[in-house]
Amino acid sequence: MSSATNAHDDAHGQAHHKFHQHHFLTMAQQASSAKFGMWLFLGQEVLFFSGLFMAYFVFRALYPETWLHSAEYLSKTMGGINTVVLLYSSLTMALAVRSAQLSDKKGLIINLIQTIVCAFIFMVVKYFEYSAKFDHGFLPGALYHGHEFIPGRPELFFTVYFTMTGLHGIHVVAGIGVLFWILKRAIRGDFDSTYYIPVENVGLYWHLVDLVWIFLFPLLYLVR
Amino acid sequence: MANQAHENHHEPHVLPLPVYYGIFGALLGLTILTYAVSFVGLPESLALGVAMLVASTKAALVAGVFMHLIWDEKLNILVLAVSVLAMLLFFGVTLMDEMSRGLILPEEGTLFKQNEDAALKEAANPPPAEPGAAQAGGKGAKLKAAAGSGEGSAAAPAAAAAPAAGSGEGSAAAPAAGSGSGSR
Amino acid sequence: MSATTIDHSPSHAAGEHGHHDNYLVAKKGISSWIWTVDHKRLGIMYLAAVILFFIVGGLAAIAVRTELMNPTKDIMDADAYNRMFTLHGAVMVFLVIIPSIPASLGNFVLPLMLGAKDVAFPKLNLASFWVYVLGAAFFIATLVTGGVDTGWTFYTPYSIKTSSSATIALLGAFILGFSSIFTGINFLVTIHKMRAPGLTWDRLPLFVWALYATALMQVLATPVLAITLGLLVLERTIHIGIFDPVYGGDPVLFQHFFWFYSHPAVYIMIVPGFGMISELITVHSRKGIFGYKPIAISSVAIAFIGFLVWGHHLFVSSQSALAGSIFSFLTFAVAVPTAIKVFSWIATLYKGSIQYTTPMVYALSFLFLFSIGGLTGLFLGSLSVDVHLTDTYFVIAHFHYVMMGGTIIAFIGGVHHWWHKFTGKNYNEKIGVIAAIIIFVGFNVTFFTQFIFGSQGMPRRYWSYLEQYHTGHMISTYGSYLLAVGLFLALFNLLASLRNKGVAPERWRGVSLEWETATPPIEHNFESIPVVTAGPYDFPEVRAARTGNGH
Repeated sequence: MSSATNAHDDAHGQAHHKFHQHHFLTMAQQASSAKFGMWLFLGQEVLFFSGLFMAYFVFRALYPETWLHSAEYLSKTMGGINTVVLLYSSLTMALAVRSAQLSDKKGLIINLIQTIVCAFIFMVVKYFEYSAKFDHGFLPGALYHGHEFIPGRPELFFTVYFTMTGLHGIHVVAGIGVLFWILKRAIRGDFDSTYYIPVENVGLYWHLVDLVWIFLFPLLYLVR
Repeated sequence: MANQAHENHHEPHVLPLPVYYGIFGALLGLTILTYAVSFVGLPESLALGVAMLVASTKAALVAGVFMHLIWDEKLNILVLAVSVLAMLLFFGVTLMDEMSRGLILPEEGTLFKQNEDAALKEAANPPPAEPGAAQAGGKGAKLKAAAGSGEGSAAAPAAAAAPAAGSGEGSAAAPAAGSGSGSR
Repeated sequence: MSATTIDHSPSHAAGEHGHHDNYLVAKKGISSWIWTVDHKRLGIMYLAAVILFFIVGGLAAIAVRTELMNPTKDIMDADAYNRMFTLHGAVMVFLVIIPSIPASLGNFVLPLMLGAKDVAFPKLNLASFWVYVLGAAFFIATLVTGGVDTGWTFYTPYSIKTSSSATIALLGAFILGFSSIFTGINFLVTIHKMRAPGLTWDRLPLFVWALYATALMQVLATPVLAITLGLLVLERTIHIGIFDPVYGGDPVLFQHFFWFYSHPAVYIMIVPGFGMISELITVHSRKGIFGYKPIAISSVAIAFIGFLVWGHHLFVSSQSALAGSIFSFLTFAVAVPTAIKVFSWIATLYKGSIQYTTPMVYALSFLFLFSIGGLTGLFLGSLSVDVHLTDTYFVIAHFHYVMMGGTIIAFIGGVHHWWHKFTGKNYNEKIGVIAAIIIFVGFNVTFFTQFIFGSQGMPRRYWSYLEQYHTGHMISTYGSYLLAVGLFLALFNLLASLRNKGVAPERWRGVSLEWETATPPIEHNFESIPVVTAGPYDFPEVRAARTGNGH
């Protein structure tokens, strides 16, 4: 893939870009393909999450009382803080892409670091939330042993809560991984206005993580 | 092909900074709004509707501006639209099943719940040319047949002809189908 | 797309042109295969893996049929029988049919047909293959740990309770899902972005259109399977309760989740077969396709309708009667695009110069078998008839006519069609045709019988049965042996050709782009980028006929 040295497609008379892959004719085709591929990946992510949203809606419809009462035991404040943190990280991610577009290496690095810091803050808040649930026995399914009275099937509410936020959390952790990878390349100076598609694609992924949270927050925390 | 179409804009499409800050401000504002509304104590379905409306607006802002979708190739917009539609289809149809399981009472066999039945008759009678009523009547007849066949596989051959008849009625004559479901 | 339409780019200096080795020998050593990003090598590796697992699944099928020879115990007890048919089903669906045409033949041929040097993301392609191998390893591991007895559908609540190693199989299927998604994303991007100059959407070979529709479904449906199986794994390990009524969950919800993927998956399996048949019928009857656009669009239409009909698997699963009626009605809509295809193929054959080559014999088998499979689907789609037929051998026969008589036959036909392109060798044509005929006869003896005793009430997945079904089961078992003989004959015929020396002459004279490059293709597919000026089925005969008519 990286055998860009082989003299295969000078057909268009362009100079070879360092990151031009030999099976694409032009950098524009390469970038456009990579972005389309990323969007398809995000499309499958939407459907990946849809299974859990489906479970949420079905059981909310079957046990409306449970949903109203269980949500009381989630912290709206912590959820709200995490929402703001993720929204801000989305902003810095978008600005990181903008910096890359403008070949502003310093801005790119600063914005990426801010994004990563936000991701860590999110996970720390999540940790405190989860440990509070563990302490009260608010656990999924068979593990549930909460003492507070909640009508219906609170174990299902917490199954949905943990699977949805858990899967989202896994995506945040994976996001931290790819953000570090992009940061490393940014420091190395790989990106400028002619080549920034990896930054853009990681950005798209990160925004999707934000998008999922935008729906999770009201659905789980703000039932009433 | 694809590459030729894009050869002309190698220059990245850069948005001015205030756009980013403006969108972030709007997102914060909407978050505060949805947070505040949750304390008002709206009826449940309305609260869910408002929350989803606000969340969708926020999602549209993030997708449109932060993800650059507004200025992107149409193809990428299509990908998002198709996957969201597939998701809504999944939700809609599964919920349709989950919510309609009690529609037919097993002890009454082929009959609708009484209020359903009454509603159907009402819908079928006053304006005869209404297409919605025709559909409802057709469905009624089909449901009846389906429930009949559910009674046991021994009855299957007899019931086999019924769905065809039901759908035929649905398209041809609504009042006939409506009265049929009452008379059985 | 004939040779005359290929422009050699003038900007290439003559000196650059040197001799290029074909993809099989361009790089040497085992690691050059293990880490290859060449779509052709990956296609061959997929082909080998698919054939290997087809043999595994096939042997399991033979074991199942042998056990059913008599109503009493023949070779295994009821418990082993449950594990055996699960193994057969799971291996055939997840390891054989889903990757068969797209990942092996498609991988090899798609970039060639598009005039591209490779798929859009070669490394993702490599990842997809090794993820497939990893998932397959999980499946094989279940053999060692005692097997799975849930059937390939993993229905709850039994799959939650069973003590067998279902968790490992679930993880395997979960992993295989990602292999499928990666291939789908790769193909969609490749088709959208990597077409050669002049290769417009209405000049794409129909095989490409079929792969496009397939990839669309793979990307949209497979993630739902992944999340479903993931939840089921959690259900089995920590009892999260979503599918378990003990905790207020809904076991029927599992079926919704499962079939939201698995019904489109049926079309993921059959649509590439449709594409394959479009190629076989045109090339081997030397005639342009009848109804290019309807066939192309009906592939996408099937992909769309495929998402609307999953509930017909739930007719007797306590799904609501309203949902059942709507799903039954929508199911009939599938017949429309499918019939468009079948009629178009038959119209293509009309007045064509039909050559009874091996691939063509498979294509004709397909038309016959798939029509039976499709039409019996209408019986099962009718709500009330299905109540009688559900979970009988009628269903078994129906989906074998579609999956095996459709996809696998098209797959074998495709392997014969492109064998020369893959390897540069010609197999023995006479033995090839004989094998195809044995397969056709063996298949019908095996499965047509099952329609009959299925409609008489023989339930599926039963280890024993009433005496009245004995004759039927015996005929079916003998038929399966004949089928196995035919399949092995076809395989040996292909493998025997590998011993021939040198590159044999090409016999089919197709005109889509994959025929324009060298055989076997060079490592980067084309010496220079082809420019396309005509349609994929514009055979010399077709053009001659057109000018002869005075157009």
